[in-house]
Amino acid sequence: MSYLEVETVTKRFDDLVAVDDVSFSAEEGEFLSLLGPSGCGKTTMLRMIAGLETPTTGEIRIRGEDVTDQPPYERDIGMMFQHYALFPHKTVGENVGFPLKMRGVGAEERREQVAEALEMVRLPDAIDRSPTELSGGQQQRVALARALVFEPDVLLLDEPLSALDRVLRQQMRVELERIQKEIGVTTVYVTHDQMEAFSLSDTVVVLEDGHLSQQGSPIDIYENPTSEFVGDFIGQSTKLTGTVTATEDRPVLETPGVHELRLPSSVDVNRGESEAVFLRAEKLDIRDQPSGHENAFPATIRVINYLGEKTVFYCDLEDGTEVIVSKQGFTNVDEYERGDEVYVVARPEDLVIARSVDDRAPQQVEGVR
Amino acid sequence: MRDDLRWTAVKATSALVYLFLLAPLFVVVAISFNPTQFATFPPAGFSLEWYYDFFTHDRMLRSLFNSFVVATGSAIVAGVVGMISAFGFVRYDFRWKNALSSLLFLPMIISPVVIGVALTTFLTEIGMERNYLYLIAGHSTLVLPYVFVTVRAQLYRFDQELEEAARTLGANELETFVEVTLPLIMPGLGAGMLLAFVISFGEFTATQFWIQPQTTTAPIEIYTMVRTSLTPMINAMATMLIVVTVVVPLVLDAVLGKNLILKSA
Ligand SMILES: Nc1ncnc2c1ncn2[C@@H]1O[C@H](COP(=O)(O)OP(=O)(O)O)[C@@H](O)[C@H]1O
Ligand SMILES: [Mg+2]
Repeated sequence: MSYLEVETVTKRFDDLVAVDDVSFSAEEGEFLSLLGPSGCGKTTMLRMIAGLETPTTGEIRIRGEDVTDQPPYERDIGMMFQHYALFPHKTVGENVGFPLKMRGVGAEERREQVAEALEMVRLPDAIDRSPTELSGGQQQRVALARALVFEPDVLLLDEPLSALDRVLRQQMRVELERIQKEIGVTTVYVTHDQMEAFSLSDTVVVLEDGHLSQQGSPIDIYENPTSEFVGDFIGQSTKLTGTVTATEDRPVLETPGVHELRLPSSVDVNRGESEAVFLRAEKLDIRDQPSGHENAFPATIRVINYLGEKTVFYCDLEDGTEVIVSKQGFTNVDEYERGDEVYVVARPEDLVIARSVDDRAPQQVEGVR
Repeated sequence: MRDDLRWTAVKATSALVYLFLLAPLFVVVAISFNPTQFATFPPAGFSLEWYYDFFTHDRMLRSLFNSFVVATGSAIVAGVVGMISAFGFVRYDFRWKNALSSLLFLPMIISPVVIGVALTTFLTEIGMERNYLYLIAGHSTLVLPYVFVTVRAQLYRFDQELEEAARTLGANELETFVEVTLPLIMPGLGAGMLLAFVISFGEFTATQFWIQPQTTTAPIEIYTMVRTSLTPMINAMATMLIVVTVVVPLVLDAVLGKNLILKSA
């Protein structure tokens, strides 16, 4: 039994299936992210955990107790809303004290706990101010204090950083991680930002169009995507689709842009089948000569984006397919310019092929040995 | 340049309109302090004689008290009913919604004489006596639209995420309403109820059909008195009426510090 369990949950709004047969679970203290593009059902999933929506079918359990049909106020769940939802007619202190007041905590004890919570988010002096006087970042801290002051079973965060500017977003992300680790609350975090999800989470659940696409650790999801959707959505990569053939010991992919793309020998693919391969931008190289590399294919540099910590090359393959190459700390950027004919090098081991669990089933393992 | 001229013309016209509307009121207030029996303007002196008369005149005091009771009752009834209807129209979807919401404005549009007669027939038919309740029922109908519009406007702007936040924080439906919803719609509700009070307090046309001697309201008493005996006490009474309908709400507004009227205007 896990601490938080979501089991085959489906949510329909009339004809629209917002969440489609999703199951996942989180252990006590775990940081879990729901990651996916806008409209994939993340907020709806979160609202069902909070009790603001009722699943059409399926079950949600917290510490083994079925809460599927419990109203939100009977659950102990701290939710931070995307736009904070602070009560404008109450002071910061009253806002943070609200969940305690609703739980019948006396004024004296309330004051202490509120002060403590504000201390935790580093806003101890804001207690008597109106939330409307605070900056976005400060409002967010108040919202976090309010969601945590009553020591909820689960903390829910809906794209909490999306309304902040870049610098503040970085700071808050670090802050959020510190606080979550400090109090060890089980957390479900909704975001469309892969970087946020990866940097914060123990487990990432990727949602696609309402259904669960993949669940796993960040490394797992990045290195071993189980669907083309995840391979495409996560990271910056180029997708090449082609037909599997074979040379000597190795499977090879015939694609329009790259005639012979050598695949890692360990991969299980069938000759004659169509496959999609992802070239991660940061794992590719740019070379002047093809010699000495297994996969080196001619390309023309179209755009060079020098970004300081990295340089991104947008190149065209022979058939016009765009391939993105991203190099960290690339200092000899001056040596290249638009229109240069170069070779893009991809090591076979670095190629990412989406394999769903079904595709790894035994009957298909024969492959091309 | 021509725009300037036009603007000046607009301002001058507005000033004239206001002067035309407000001047008679100032005259009434001024001559209520006039010691002479016959109205003169400017006043011949200053005296509180007519106010003394007024405050020692039982029928006058009685009518003023009646108006207070009826206006307060109507503001409360219209406040509750208007607020609930506004919630229904903003938060829920149902058939004929637009048509029905237009219907709610009928009391503002239909001549009060017609409403006066119609409601008399109806209330008499169901056997209601002409007491305070009778008047409050009538006035509530008349002032309901004012509460409805002000609360509806407030609800359209209301961020329902605040209620959801309250519920996730442990507030049940009632606590959410008391702690979050009500305080936040108070400007609209308060303005609507003040408006309802003021309109009920000054209502004349329909009220004639609904009173009996013990429940006569202030505006009707003034009218009766003007027709029977032209005493300057009327001006004192009229001044009191102006104070109640204009000054009291504004002072209340300022004292409560919410600026309900000024904000919602
Ligand atoms: N209350 C609702 N009524 C109808 N459709 C809804 C409602 N809430 C969400 N949806 C729809 O469900 C889908 C998922 O929405 P949402 O959970 O908000 O996605 P996300 O948070 O991932 O952007 C969207 O197509 C959205 O339009
Ligand atoms: Mg969302």
